[in-house]
Amino acid sequence: MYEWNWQTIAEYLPFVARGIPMTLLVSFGAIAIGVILGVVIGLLRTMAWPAVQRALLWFVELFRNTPVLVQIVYFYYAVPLLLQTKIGPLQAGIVAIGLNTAAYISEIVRGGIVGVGRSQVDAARSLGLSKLDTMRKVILPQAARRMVAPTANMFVVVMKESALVSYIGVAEILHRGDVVQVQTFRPLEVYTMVAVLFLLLITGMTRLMAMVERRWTPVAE
Amino acid sequence: MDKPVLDLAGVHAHYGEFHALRGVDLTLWRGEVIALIGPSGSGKSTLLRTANLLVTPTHGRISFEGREIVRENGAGRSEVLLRDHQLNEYRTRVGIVFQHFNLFPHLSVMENLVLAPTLVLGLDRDTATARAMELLKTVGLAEKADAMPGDLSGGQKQRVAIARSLAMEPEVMLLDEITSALDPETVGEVIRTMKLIAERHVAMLVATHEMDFAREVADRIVFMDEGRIVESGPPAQMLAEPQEPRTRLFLDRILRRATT
Repeated sequence: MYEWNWQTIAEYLPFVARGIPMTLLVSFGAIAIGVILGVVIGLLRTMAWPAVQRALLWFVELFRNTPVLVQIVYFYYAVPLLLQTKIGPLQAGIVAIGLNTAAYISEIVRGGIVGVGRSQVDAARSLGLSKLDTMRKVILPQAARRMVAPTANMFVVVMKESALVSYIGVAEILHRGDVVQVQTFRPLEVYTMVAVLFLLLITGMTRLMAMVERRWTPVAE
Repeated sequence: MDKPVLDLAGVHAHYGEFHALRGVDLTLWRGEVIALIGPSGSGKSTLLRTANLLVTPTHGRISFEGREIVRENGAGRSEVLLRDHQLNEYRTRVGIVFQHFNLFPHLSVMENLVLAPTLVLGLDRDTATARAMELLKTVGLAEKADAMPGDLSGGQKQRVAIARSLAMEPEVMLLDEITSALDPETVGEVIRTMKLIAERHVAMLVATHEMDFAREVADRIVFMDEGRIVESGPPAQMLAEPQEPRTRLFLDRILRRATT
């Protein structure tokens, strides 16, 4: 019978916990790329010329329909060969998860805009509002509220996906856990520690997001 | 009623394969009130949306105040002659009120009325607010200026929608079955508001099933069926002795339903 050993935890918790800043860096780096690019792509997919819309649909499909881990590995090992440069594991990981997140967030943005409905566009246009003013003053303020809940959910997904960069050697929480596990052969203690650290981080995050969601609920006519 | 304000000639409209308007000729005179009646799917809504150019006609011509805004090209297809900003300007002069209100739910009643006058007509906020307040008084909702649309009853929403449209000071108002989505007890208040607009000598094209409104307020009743105008005339004549069998059948049905 495997015996639980508190000593391992006491000894190695500080080492594993020092991965927290790296986990946060990867997560928020990817979220920043995902939000900025996702909003731009989502807007373009509802407003731009058909050719641009088609190209962006390809981007979205490409990143949604391949595994994130494959994308991370691709950016670390394959893209540098194409570009004839070096990309560090941290950069590769953030960019890969960031682009993947952008694909999903662009769909949230597009869905939010489409979900506001034709009748609001009709009302605004029939009062003489230009396309741009209709978008700015009527559609986006309503769409934004519809985007908050799914975006908050996306942030949680990203934080969990950040652990995948351990595969290419970024020293975040899981990677540090792996290091300890190889030395101590105490997987139960080590990976429980890793899981609890993620649980605390992500629960804190969802609490924060819930506060934002309460202030930004969709309005019905 | 000296001059035509809106003139449609041979207008056709399609939704994809569906041929919604099949050659409509209609002249709306300055200050005239036309009640547009007919079964669901007869093309009343499409006619109004075409007049506002929310729907672009496939064939036919449209003139506004004597100026051609949609013409037919050599191939007989309709062509909108307005550039984007001219089209926006045209829409400020031909207002439309929808069956389902389409108020902006994220804005207060006052903001609903102020948005387009400030953005499109370029009024300053104070002027726009003062005018909006006058209109809210007219439709009897001054005390709701700060309410959100979601807190209003159906009849109140529709009166706000009417006021929002009037805030642009249009020459023509298009009303698209604006009492059809209301509870019976609030229909009266909206009809009273419609009468107030008619008294301002704004020309109105009113798609409606309210025959009392048609009888009392309209200068002319136009009956549509299957995308065409079947018959038109003064209310007294149209309601008492319609010439076309289809008109008679429709009126029999709708008047019997109203009295029982």
